[in-house]
Amino acid sequence: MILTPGEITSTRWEVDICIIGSGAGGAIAAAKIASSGQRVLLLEEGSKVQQGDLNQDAARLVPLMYRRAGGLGTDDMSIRILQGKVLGGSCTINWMTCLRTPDMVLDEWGDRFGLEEYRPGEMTPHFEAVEQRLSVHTIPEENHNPQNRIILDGARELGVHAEASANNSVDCIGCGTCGLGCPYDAKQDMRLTYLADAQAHGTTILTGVRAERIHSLSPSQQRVEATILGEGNGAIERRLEVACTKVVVAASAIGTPLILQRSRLNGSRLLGKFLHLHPVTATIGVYDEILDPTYGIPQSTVCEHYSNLDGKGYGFWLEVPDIEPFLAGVNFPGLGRSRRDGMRNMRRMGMIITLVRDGADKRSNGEVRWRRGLNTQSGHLSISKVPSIRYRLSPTDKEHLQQGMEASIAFHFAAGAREVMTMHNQHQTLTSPGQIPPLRRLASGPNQLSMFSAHPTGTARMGKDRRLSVVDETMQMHHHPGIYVMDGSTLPTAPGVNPMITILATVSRALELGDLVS
Amino acid sequence: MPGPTKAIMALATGLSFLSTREAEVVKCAGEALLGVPRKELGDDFVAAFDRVAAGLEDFLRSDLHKLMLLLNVVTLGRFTRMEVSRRERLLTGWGHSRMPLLRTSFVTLRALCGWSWYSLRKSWPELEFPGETIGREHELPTLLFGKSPWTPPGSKPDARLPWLTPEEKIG
Repeated sequence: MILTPGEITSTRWEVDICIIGSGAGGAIAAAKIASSGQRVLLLEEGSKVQQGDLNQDAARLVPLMYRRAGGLGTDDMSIRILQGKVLGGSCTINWMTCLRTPDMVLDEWGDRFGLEEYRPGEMTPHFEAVEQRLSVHTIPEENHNPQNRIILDGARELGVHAEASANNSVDCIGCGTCGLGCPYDAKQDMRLTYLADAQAHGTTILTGVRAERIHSLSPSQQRVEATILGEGNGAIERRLEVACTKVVVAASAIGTPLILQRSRLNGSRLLGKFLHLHPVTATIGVYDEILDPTYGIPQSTVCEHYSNLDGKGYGFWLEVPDIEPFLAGVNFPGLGRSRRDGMRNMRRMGMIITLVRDGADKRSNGEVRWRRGLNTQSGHLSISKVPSIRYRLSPTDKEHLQQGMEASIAFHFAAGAREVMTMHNQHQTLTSPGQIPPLRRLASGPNQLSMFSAHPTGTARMGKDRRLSVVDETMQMHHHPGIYVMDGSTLPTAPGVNPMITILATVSRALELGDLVS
Repeated sequence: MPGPTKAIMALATGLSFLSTREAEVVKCAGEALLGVPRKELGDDFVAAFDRVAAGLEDFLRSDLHKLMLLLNVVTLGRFTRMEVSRRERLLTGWGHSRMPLLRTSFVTLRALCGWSWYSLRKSWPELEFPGETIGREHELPTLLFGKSPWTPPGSKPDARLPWLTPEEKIG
């Protein structure tokens, strides 16, 4: 049963397990815990959406389904963070890429964090199970759009390896609006898979309900305070309380530390730290032929040739998204008339994104926490706590981003682009590969080179040693028994691939190891 | 909840976040950043900007008001009366500035203006972007690459994407 705010009549609930967040982690946790016969209540701050709501209208759907209406970012806005705030979490609005956590990453977790239970051999059955549930398959050769062929053609010309990626779609027609939710229910997101399983086992899902605080009274007695958000202007918000034995927080690597900090469940000084973002920059190639980058299966190809530049599993990888006008309009380089003229070439553009596996220097790049800020509530100035996301690229990560940008430009030219644009504020249009080296002289610090992210992870990382981690191998908080974190926050390092499958498989493994599934 | 004065203003202008003066600043900034004349941007551009801004958290809305104020302060209140080229130079300077605050302001303004304009249908014809595919699925160019056209129930079989010529489809 899924209830919207207007349908919620009871404001006091008593259940076995309360789960906060309906993204990948919360969804699979709900499905597995509910199937063991326990009463599960799932709270989701975002709206309930169904196929009929997903009408491809960006002006309506982005504010409805994205956190901060699509404007989430680091405090200085140097990295925009695309994150879902909707039933099913970011999986509802992602581009469907399904890649397994590389063995090297899982082994790093074993070596550095004592997570022997997450070694590749232990994880294989979990990857297989979640891939089966999500209908994950390698995208057939004939289904790559012209834009994704840039990766394949470029790699062949450059003599490096690139291949077809995998995604969780069934009968995808390539409309290209994955970022606005799938209007054809082809994307096998959480709503159609694990949340459906959870409902089939009796889970109640309350949408439009924001968890505010958790009161941990004892390891087996918790109380969650929440707000039922109003629907429409002037609607009245109501309080809601949940009494339960255990709480699973799955509100994302941004939301989870904020809820736990507000609840004073911050026994570990590491909570909120070690934020990883997989920072991304893009290059845009302009081609003579029409590519129609608006259409097709996004990220149907991938180049992971450079994902292990340091011999320790850190580097970058390349993918190709779809280009919607609104998305291009936000980040397109240049200013004024030349920018407008550039946008007019949209049908001949191809975009390659460089994603960096950050954390190569083994220190915290960023932090999520509450800070004091100026508010103007009701027209009166006041000082109150506001959410803060701070992040800086470490020197090695910055070098990997630069190398990725250079590689992507080489891919464009190798695939036949007549010119390539970078995302520097000092607008650059390159017409030959020989112009790549001077790019290093351009200012590329915060807000000098456009960057974005869709993969925040790591703010409540998992490990055996409570001095080095926030949760144990079962994803239970070291310092607060009865409280679990099951989302991207727990990943001890950046996974180095689009994280949906990693989150699902690690939560599946943690549930097997712990006592939540009785 | 907005105060009573704000509420009355909102009723009068249809805007819930921007004041009338700020609306003009947004239009002028959009003209310089996007290269689209003020008249062409129109009131619906300002309304789109206003909708996004109104949906932000309180502390961010406060920051945006400060940003509008900053634009007026540094130009001694003449921002909306400046030549487009001068406005463009001013904002370019912000984008290249050594001061992080100015770069943040530039990036925020460019992103908000870019979103507000390119999410409007009237900006799409010059991009040759026809909009939604719902009801026109069988015309998707990507389906030409080895896949049989798929016609969902209720779609219009005679609908055509006007901008896509047969030659281009094959090419």
